[in-house]
Amino acid sequence: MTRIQELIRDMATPSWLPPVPYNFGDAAAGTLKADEWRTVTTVYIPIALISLWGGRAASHASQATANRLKMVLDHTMALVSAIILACMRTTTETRMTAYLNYLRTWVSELRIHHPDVEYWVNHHMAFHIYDFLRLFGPVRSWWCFPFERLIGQLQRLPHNHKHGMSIVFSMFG
Amino acid sequence: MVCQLSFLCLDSLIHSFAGQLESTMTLSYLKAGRLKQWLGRQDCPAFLRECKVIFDKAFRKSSVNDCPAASAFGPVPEGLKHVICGTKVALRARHSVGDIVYSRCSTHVGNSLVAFYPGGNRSSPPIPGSIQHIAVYPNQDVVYLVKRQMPASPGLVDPYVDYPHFPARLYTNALSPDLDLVRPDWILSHYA
Repeated sequence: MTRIQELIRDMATPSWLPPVPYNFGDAAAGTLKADEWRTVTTVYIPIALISLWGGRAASHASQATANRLKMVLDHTMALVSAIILACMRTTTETRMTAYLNYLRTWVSELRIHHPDVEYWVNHHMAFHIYDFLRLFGPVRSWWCFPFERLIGQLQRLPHNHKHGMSIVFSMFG
Repeated sequence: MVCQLSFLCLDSLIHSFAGQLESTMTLSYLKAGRLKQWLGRQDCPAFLRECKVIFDKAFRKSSVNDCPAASAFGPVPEGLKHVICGTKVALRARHSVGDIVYSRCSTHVGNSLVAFYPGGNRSSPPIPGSIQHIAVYPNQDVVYLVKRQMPASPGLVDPYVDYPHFPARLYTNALSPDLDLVRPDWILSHYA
């Protein structure tokens, strides 16, 4: 976690990349939004884990530890690769198939690398993204972030919990 | 199709549960979003794209691509004469292409890091580099002067090659002493 926080603090990123709290992981950082999670998952976490566990076996206590961490890294990178492929602005047959294969690998090996983790319905639903990519194209055409932004704008309006009467009561309230 | 269905569902929903305020805001938001999406399409008619240019000029605060004042043009600095042809040039801090802003490294390091195709040859792999200067010619042509990121030592194992769909490669922090002249359309993207 320290390595991830160092990266968030020190990495030079373009201004269009959504910022992430420097103290990510601390209680004070609060809950991340979906877009912030995407940035953490596709940028900071993979670079941090690869710099710690990938290609530097000599720095680990033993070869067994190095092998174990490399397997966990490969498993995590399957999920990272799936997210990157699913979020691309264009999609192809190769990318859709690669997404499905990465997701299969990650879900099938989840209990091997993390025995305490239970399967959630989200693991199943992620497979349907493959169907939706095939049916509707890139996720940016049909994901719900625009509606999330609209909900956020509506929530920030002053209101009195009575639908349709906000203007009247905010004017006279 | 999905957008249309969502629009119809949301339209009926807000008429059922919300009042005039929510209805007006939601429909305005949806229509603006659909217009923006339509203006961004390749097959959008040219005259509509012209309207977008006018809207952008009217409602955006300022453009980083505004033409520099005549007094900003001066002789080419000594250190840049070997890469810049011409006698007069203006140096600026940033330049935007579409919605993407590129900066010189002394202004914003993150916005100065770009992967570019040397010579505009897109069949070769993109090269990472840092924009040192942004130069504008009197005819409004813009060029970036970029120092390349030095490759990692030959004997060093790149841990990122194991993950072909994670777009990262190993380079050193050092920059090449030489400057490359890069046109804005030779750039693939920013990198971090």
